[in-house]
Amino acid sequence: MAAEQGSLLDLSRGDQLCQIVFECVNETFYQMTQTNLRKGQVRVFNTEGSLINYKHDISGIIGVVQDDLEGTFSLSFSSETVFPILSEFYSKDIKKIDDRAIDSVAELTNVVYGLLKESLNDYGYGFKMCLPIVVMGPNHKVFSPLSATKWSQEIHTNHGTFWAELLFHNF
Amino acid sequence: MNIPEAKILLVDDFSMVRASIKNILKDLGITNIHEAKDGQQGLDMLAEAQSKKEPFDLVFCDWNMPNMSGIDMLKEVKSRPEMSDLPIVMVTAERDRANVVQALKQGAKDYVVKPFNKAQISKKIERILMQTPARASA
Repeated sequence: MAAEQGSLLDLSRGDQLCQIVFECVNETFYQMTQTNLRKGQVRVFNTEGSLINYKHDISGIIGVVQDDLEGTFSLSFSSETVFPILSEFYSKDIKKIDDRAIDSVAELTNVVYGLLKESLNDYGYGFKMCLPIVVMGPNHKVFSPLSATKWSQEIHTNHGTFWAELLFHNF
Repeated sequence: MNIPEAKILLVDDFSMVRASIKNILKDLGITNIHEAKDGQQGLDMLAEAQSKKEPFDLVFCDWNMPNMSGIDMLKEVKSRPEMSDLPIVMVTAERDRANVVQALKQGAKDYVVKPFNKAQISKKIERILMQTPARASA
């Protein structure tokens, strides 16, 4: 998505934000596996909604920060979806959440965030690179601070669905 | 040089990136592929190969790694006369122009931004290795 010269993206516009997020995830998958993803529903979680969440088996989480704005970006997968995706990346069968899977979800999060950072910075933001962390565990939930608004973008692959989520507060 | 004969080192703390590049190299017929998880391990492997007179022909090196970063490894390699000609391609998710400039100033042969695809990597490998003199037979 091309940025309008000199205009800051309105971060309360979840539809625009989710479009950018989807494009960054899709670009990453396209470059690495030559497959296109399909955009699913966008959901907004706020104070009460943040307690109602999807259940995941592995999540990559990274800070989205600049001097006066803080947020988080995450990619969350079920085992059923992540194994065939990672098998495609490695050209090898991956059937359990081990060091290699953890490593890959961290790197995937890092690469998508690199693109997302660039896209948001094209609008005049100054987001910096951060280090990703990985959370794993059957049916875990990723909660956000009650003061934040979180946009959840459902993404469909040929192997199942996963979620890209972006949250900000102080915007 | 003959591309399938190349000896290549992949330096990245993430195994997914090493595996992706390794798959591309294998498609080009390259099998002499070695891996390091950080800059220090990479530097040690380069020095050892050099001392055994079995030097590497090309290195792909991540930027952000524990123990020793890619840019520090690059500086160290370029400061050692016996390895200063070794072509190093920096690989990173950081797209800032300043990083590209810094890497090239420090002597990187090229720069790849993640996510990359097979065509981008193959093109760089072929271009760099075509400029590399053939290895002298033992």
